[in-house]
Amino acid sequence: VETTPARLLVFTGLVGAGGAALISVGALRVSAAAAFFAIIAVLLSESFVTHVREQADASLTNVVVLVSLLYGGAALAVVATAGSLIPFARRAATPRTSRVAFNVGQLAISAAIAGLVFEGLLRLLGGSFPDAGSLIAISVAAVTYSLVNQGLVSVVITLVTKEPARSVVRSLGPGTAMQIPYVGLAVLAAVLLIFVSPWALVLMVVPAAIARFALLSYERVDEAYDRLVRAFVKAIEVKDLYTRGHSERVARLSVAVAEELGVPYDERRLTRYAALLHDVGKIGVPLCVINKPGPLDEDEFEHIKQHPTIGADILRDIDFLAPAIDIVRYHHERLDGAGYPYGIGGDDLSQIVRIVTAVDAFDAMTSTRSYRQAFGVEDAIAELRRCAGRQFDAEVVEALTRTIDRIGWVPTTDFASSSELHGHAIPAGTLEDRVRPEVSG
Amino acid sequence: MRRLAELAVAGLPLALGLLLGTLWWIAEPAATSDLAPLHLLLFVVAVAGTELLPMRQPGGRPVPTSTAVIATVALLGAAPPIVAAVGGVGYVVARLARRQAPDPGALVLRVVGGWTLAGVAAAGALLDVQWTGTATQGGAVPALDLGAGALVAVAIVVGMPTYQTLTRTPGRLEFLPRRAAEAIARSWLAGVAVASTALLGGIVHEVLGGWTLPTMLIPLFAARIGLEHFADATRAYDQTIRAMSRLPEQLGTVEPEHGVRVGRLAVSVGLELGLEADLLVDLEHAAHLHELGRIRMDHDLEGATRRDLADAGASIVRETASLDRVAEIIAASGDPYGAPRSVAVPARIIAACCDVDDYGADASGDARRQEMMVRLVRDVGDLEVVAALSRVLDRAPAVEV
Repeated sequence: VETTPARLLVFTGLVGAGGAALISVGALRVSAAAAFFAIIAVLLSESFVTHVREQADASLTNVVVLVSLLYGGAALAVVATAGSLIPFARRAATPRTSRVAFNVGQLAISAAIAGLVFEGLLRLLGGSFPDAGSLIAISVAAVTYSLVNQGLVSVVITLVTKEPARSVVRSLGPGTAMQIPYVGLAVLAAVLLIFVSPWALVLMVVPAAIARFALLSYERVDEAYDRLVRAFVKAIEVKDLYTRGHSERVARLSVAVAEELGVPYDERRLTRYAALLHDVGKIGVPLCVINKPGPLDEDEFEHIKQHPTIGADILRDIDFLAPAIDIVRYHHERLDGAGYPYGIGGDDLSQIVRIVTAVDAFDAMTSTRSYRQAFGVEDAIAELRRCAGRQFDAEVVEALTRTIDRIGWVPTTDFASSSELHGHAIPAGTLEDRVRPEVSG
Repeated sequence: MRRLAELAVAGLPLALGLLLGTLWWIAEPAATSDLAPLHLLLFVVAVAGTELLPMRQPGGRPVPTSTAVIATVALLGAAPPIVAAVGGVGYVVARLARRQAPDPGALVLRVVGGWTLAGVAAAGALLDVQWTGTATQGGAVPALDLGAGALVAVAIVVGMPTYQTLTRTPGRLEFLPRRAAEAIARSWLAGVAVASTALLGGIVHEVLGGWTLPTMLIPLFAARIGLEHFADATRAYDQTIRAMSRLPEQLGTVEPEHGVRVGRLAVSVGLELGLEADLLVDLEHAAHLHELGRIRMDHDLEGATRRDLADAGASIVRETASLDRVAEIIAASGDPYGAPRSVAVPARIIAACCDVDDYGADASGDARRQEMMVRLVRDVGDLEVVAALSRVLDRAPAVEV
């Protein structure tokens, strides 16, 4: 939030003040010991937020709130949320005060409303924990907590981004089903706390800690994997002068285009790896062909045609990349079936293949190669549009154009040193690639 | 003869488990308790469900999450035949649900495993250390026999991987304790998650009854999601390194699958020499990548020595930050005599295995074999490595050399 509109400031201020008031009132009605442990529990759970994947963080704060509710009622649940103050203050971006006030306040308000719902239902259904009535009450309270929580956050999002309220409300649904495991954890923890011993909570914390440890390790290995794939690509580019940096650029732009087209996160990740590795098969093509200045003859072109197949073969045993292998295999196919090496048509080409194919051609056209100079962005886009429908997917080409408008694109003209070209000058060339117009990248 | 010995190694602990389970059950009949038929049915369903979701830790064997459910039944004091039946029936149901015929060996393992766990729990109960909670409104008092809990946890975290090492790891007997320790180290996180879940189930069952299973398994599944992610990423990493070994083969100067074959042979030799697990992993990676230098030396392979190739390969590998020791091993494999001490053994193993693979199928005759060995001793200069390699080749002449 760069500039804070007045309405937003009023809203966050109200939420913060409301939360503070609720916590103060609650504090008068709970025992000091229970309040202390509940506050510490929230402090810990907010300090150990685990990044699960892009835009998804897991924290056990709502479990702590529900357990507090089961153990000491609405007042304890509200007081517990005060523990989030320090973790929020430590990681909040500017403007700090209003962010922290809002975040703590919305937790307290959510806990208070969920608490009232829980206590009301408990009175209505009778009985006590852990009978069926109390389990229903806590489940409804969990959903209430999540809805109020997300509702308050989405009001802020609407105020900041001016996104229509309708689309914000629609995104609330999936969170509700996610409350089921949290309710289970809360019930389990409350049973241990009330009927066994606080020490027995260790038995629950151990698997949760293992989950966190494993997810953190996963992130570390995933980063190492990223470096490995890049090293893989670099290993190939050692040989191939004219594609230096090409794979990285195609990967970056392909992911941006996939984002533009609303491709889900997992597939975007795959797009990145597939785009990085799409040319690995070039390793099997003789050097003299790859780096030849000027047009290729039929024999030489036959060599070039093999690289998608060779690439797919090199990557065949990497299970994780199995869905990406078709992208490597088909990145020179065309919608009208006139591509190589298989000549299959649009029906067999997935959206990701279409993205990588178009981006590959775009980067090829906008970079200087051994046989011609780079073309301008405008010319390359015009050429993609001209071939849309036959060679490239029209929707993808439009998404690519929008992406370029958004992130900008500079043609790659710094080609390898002249000594590597053995004294050949690079011809100006035409948009039509080496042998036929459809050959690119 | 060898087959008989393997059977004995695999069968003896099982027979022992059966016997102990039976003995303690007879000695302590009071410790067994009856579970309501409905709850038993729920447990069978839970075993079937969790059978489909084993837990992997990188490099370790999968730990069945169903063990948590079976161990819970054992901790609740069910008699050995009941626990064995819950495990066995649950397994069969899981297989049938997947339209697969149950594997007799796996079924025997489940039945004997359940029987043994019940016996272990009964043995722990002999110590009679109870942990009791406070009564609920309904009068139920949650309790856990601490002796039984501790023994069952040890059986899961230590016993299971040790047994798997006994039955599945090739190599010499003297390295068994270390291999068992490594197997425990590779699966202890999953084991601890499973064991604490079982203890949790044993405690809360008195209070939650039928709700025990759906609640107690949630933390376990969270741990499973994390560990699976971790294991998948590690596997992708290993497979990508193997794929990199195919790059020099594409140039036509290396036989197809040379890197993969050398990797397999090198690991066998490493096991034979008792290398530690971490070094074995690096050895395998280095073996896969030992020819990678060829892609950098594409044009002037003519005059290149083994050392030039190794240096070029190491420099490519060094560019990936987390493979430093692998790069070191590759560089050293180009000069087996002068290799630095820390990586001398793996470097010599790779040099020797590479030579053996280059000899190809010709090396099958006795005379040729002798000639090859003489050359290996001369080139690699490490009698121990060559002797271990020779033993590995003797054991499995079909290492497709």
